[in-house]
Amino acid sequence: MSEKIKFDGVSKVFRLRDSQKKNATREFTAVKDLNFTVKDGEFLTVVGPSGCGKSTLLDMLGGLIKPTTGRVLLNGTPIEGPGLERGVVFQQYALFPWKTALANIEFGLEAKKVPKKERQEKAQEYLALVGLSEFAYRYPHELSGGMKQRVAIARSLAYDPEVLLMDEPFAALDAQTRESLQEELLQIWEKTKKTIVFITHGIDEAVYLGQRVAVMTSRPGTLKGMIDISFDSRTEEGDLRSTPEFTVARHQVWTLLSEEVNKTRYKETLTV
Amino acid sequence: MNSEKTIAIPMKSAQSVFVLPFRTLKNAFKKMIIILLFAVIWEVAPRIGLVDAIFLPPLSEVLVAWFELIRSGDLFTHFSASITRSFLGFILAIAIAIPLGLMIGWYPIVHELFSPILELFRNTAALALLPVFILILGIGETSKVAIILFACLWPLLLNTINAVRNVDPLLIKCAKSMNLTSFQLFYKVIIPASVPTIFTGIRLAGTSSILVLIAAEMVGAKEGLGFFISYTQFNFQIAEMYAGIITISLLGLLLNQLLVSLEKRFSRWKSV
Repeated sequence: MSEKIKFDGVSKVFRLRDSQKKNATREFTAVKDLNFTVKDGEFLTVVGPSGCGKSTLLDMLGGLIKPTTGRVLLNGTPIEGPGLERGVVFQQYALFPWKTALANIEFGLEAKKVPKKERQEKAQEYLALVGLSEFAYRYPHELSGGMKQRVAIARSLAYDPEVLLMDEPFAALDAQTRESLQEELLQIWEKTKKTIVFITHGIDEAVYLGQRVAVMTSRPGTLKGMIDISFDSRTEEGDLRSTPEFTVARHQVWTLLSEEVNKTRYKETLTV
Repeated sequence: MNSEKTIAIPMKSAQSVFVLPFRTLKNAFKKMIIILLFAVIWEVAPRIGLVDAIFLPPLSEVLVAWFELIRSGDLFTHFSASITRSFLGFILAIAIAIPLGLMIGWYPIVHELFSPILELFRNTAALALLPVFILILGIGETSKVAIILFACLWPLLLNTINAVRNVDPLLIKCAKSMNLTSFQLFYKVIIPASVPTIFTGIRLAGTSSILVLIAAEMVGAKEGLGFFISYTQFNFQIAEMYAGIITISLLGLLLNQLLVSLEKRFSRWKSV
């Protein structure tokens, strides 16, 4: 498998207004010295304590912000801005409320200048992929949270990106919907062979979905460890979460993460 | 032509009321009961001497005068003069305020430049400037259309600016992640997302176009409903004066209904 994404010594420093002193700025390091690669077709999950710069990492991949130092490479070339070879799925769905489910899926295709007829066929196809064909002409406010996120995933898949970037996409959903969407996502991944970078704060979710789990440290975010999760096929196993392998992997991630969570908590008590 | 259009709408709804089932009739009755009570008081109070019948003739007499004015075509002359002015000022205000508001809302530099003067003018009562308009533009049609334009401008501008500035940042982020150019972002995301709030501005402007119109016509005009009201008062045609007032109320009501239904139509996608 070839290298798809590479973080090469990436740091990101934000300038923030100082809350104590007027007209002063202070520097805030969101992520520091990130080095890792994602292979073509790999499913990588990133897990870390809250405020560890997971979203910063994803924004850099999406080309929405630029690293202060270092480079983020896609297929060996540095990312200069957003592009349709990367699709982003947000936690709060970000569906356009004035467009129907179908029109939302067409949106990215419009940006890609796909002709109208083909656009509609494609959108229907991806709506079917996420099992929402009957809801084509519903507006987002007429859909449940799970359905909205399905539409958002279909929208990102429809313009056929090489990489899918997902920012805690299932965090706002109830437990049952989340589990079924996780399963569907795995099926979609096996079917479409996309490279997926999936950010989450749930250990179970990270272990269940990821071929590898990247554990991040608390602020400033760096890579604490990378854990291989070696299941043959996630979709064919019955109840994956109850297997001994799952428990072992879960415990590994938990151990790494709990040190960091404690550190964050300690820091927060200091600042208060 | 425009006046015919406005009249056509209540006729249609009145027709459909007759074929609607009992519950709708009950609802209509609930809405009408206080108005009916008001009408009864208006009819009875002058007759039993509670108020002077010279200054407040019974409703029936006012209605008789009203029908006489409609039959003779006098009222229509004034009505059409008024509505032409109001419509012209209103449309011109829309043509100026919406593009300008979109610019001010979207470009921070334009916003910084314009917001002090906006603050100044939005707090200046339009009618306070009527003498200035008459001085500069004379007492003809121009000054009346201009004052209506001026009065309509502010609700339109402020709502348009607000609409643009309050577009969900996540939608903008999402569109940017799909590599939309800033022009595409503007007309595919910013404008559709702003439509409902802009329509609130249009509705408010519609109301103030009527309010300012009447006041402007009371000061130096040869026709129009405002002129008609002050003229009949001078000539002690009190029943006719009330007939003019009723016409204005109905005109305002109709315009508002029309704009509300337009607003609903364009905001269909919003959750109720």
